[in-house]
Amino acid sequence: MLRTESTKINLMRPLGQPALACAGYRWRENYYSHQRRGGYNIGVRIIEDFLARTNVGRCHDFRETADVISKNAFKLYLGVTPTVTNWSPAGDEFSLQLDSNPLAEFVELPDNHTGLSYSSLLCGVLRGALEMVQMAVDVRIVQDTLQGDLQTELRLRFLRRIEESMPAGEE
Amino acid sequence: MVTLVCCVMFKHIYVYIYIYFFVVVVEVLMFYLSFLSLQEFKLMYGMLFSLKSFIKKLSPTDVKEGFLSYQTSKYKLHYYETPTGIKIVMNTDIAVGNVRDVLQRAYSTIYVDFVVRNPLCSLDEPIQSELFKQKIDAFVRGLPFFSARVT
Repeated sequence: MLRTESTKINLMRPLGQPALACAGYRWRENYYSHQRRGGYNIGVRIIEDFLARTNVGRCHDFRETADVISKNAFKLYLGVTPTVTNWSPAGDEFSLQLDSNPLAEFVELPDNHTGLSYSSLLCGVLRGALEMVQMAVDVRIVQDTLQGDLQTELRLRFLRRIEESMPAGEE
Repeated sequence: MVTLVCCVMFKHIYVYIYIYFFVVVVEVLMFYLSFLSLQEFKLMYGMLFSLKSFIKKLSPTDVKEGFLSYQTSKYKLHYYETPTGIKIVMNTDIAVGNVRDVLQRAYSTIYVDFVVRNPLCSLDEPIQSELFKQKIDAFVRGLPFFSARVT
């Protein structure tokens, strides 16, 4: 958890890590997994805090989940309300579009890491939080303001419901 | 009026159970100490799991809150579960009414503040935090239906 906290603090600093810059591609891979894992750890705990603070009950379907994520969760923790758009025909995939990404507000990517997906922490957070409420989702970044797009877009895809199971050796 | 209270919290997948309880009446203490072994807790978990699924199947309409409590001639077991699978169980005297909001407060003010926000508390293991024990002790002692029998 201390590592997670340091990840959070790292985000607030501009991306200038001279020692890691030389590792190149390998560093980038480690960065992604680090961000996602750190984000996952944050997500696992942030959901409990969210449920304690807002008395939102269990969501009945994915659309309700999307509304709660954008209107309650993002608003509470980041102060922004993303728009929920681009629903897939089956209703199991949607996009969250952020006009301003608070995590990347003061960030500039250095020249040798222009392809870096800086907001992958958010993906980890959403994945961890939703896993704790028995939803397996796949979150990825589709558009990123740091890559030159106009807005940040996250795409969430519902994979499956995680069923509550009895611990091994109980039956 | 004697009120017996026992609090148990455990996650939904793992049987990593944290036991914390205190009993008001001393002569009953030994009974409850022997009652709440790990084996008993596994049975309790199994019972609650089966009861929950049974209730869901039997309900004519969609269950909103589901299983709230059950009552015997000797005690009443209250149950509260969060969407994340954290279960809070409290046993009280049969005269105690609905304590769902109490359990909800226990979750949001004590569990979240002292376990979830504590980086040293792993969510997959029994809760070792002394502060958490103190806080929940103080919380239950402060409940309006908690009373000590004067012997």
